[in-house]
Amino acid sequence: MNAVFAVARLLVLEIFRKKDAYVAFLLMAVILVYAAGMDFYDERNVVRYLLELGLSLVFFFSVILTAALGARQVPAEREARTLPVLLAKPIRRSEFVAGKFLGTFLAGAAAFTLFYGFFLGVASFKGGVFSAATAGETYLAFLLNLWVLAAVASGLSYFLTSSAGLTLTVLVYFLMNTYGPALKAKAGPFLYFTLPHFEFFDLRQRLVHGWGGLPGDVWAALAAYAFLYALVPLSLGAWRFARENA
Amino acid sequence: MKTIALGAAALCLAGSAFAAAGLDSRLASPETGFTLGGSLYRLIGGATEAVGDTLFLKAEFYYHGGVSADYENDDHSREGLVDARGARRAEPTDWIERLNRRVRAHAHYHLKRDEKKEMLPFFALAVRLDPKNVEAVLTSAYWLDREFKKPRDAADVLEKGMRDNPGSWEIPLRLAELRFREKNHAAVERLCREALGRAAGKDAERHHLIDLHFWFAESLHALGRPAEALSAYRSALGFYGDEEKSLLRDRISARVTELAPAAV
Repeated sequence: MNAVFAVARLLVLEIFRKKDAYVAFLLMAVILVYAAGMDFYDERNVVRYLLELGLSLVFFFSVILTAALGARQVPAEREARTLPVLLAKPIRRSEFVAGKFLGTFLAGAAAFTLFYGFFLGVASFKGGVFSAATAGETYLAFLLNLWVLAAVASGLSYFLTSSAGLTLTVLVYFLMNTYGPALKAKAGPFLYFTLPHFEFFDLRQRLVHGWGGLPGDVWAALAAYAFLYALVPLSLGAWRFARENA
Repeated sequence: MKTIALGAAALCLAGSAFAAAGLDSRLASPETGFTLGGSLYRLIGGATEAVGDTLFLKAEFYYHGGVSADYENDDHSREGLVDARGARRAEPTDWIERLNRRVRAHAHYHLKRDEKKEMLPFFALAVRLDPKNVEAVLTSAYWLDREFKKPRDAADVLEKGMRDNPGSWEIPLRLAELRFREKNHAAVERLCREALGRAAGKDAERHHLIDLHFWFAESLHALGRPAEALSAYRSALGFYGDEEKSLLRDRISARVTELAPAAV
């Protein structure tokens, strides 16, 4: 287990060392602060547009950072020829796969937490009235989203180059987030039942429009889906990695 | 890093679009001498219109509490369960649909009094990004005037809409109505002439033409030009059928009776 956390820790350090997160944060902050300062016909406390824009930015940057980090892990190790060195250490391949996944998730979650905290601060400063409980649920649901996303990006990195893995992960994410509920009618049951339903974890509308939180049984279903679904790409990645010569 | 740079560039573009669209409508005022819409158009071209149209639809989405109203298959004013994309509520056929329904569906409601202002950013942006969208101009002006009691802002939107849409007769019609309420008769006369000129040869609805002729006549009457007013009243009456009855018709007829001897 220590080996898993040791690998994961490297990824968390990497996301903050590479400065990608800072660039994303800065860009998001500039747009959010500018948007927060806008005035609409002298009406006060108009905030839903800001909540919507802010959440979209926070989600977008978190997804890109997490997917990019997950997708580049194994190809980068291969390219730098550090994989044999890593595997020469007392670490099982399954631990390596789990560590890479966990690190991707934790790094993405750390960046997301930073972005989300800033967003809530700006929204509150603007005079936004929103439920703290729903804001908390939106946060937790997106963590589950990142869990699945990290598993997909990490799993694909054993099969694809980093750019192909990133492209495919982001494509699937936006496809499912936009068309997920209607995919059965549009693309048939196979894709509908096999692709990850990221839209489950998007509670933006509930927060923006004050719909309130989710019931406990729905939370249980979402958590079960996230944890079980994540096993699929990770198992495939582990299977592929086990057959590979370092 | 390359990916982030690309994403950042895309977002910069989107952010510039959002910002330059003139969320702060005062930035684009004639006093500043700077037209943000023009700068934006040069930046992202025709895509602004698509974004503007989307934002206009978004305002309606907001009005219905974050769900899409289904006007075709349902009475949209009825409270009921619709999902965030407005899909109708047939019973879910699988567990994914069932779970999605629980997460993303919500009862349809209309925004309450103070919440309606949340639509303003989308109206402001929709008109700014797609000034040729006559429906967006008219709807924005309607909400500003009727719901938010901001007739001056509504008039600004309509004035700009008139300049941007020289073929639209509906915009001067609405502006004439607004000025008529303000009793700005000189403006009403000018706007009615403009609207009637633009409506010529178009499929304008009869009741709009009656309104225009009536406001025109009333303004001419108020401006002390009875002969022209009488002619306009008679034009308005000409739109009614022989047996047709309405309060407005009675009012116009009374005016004609009142003015006819004077004009003779």
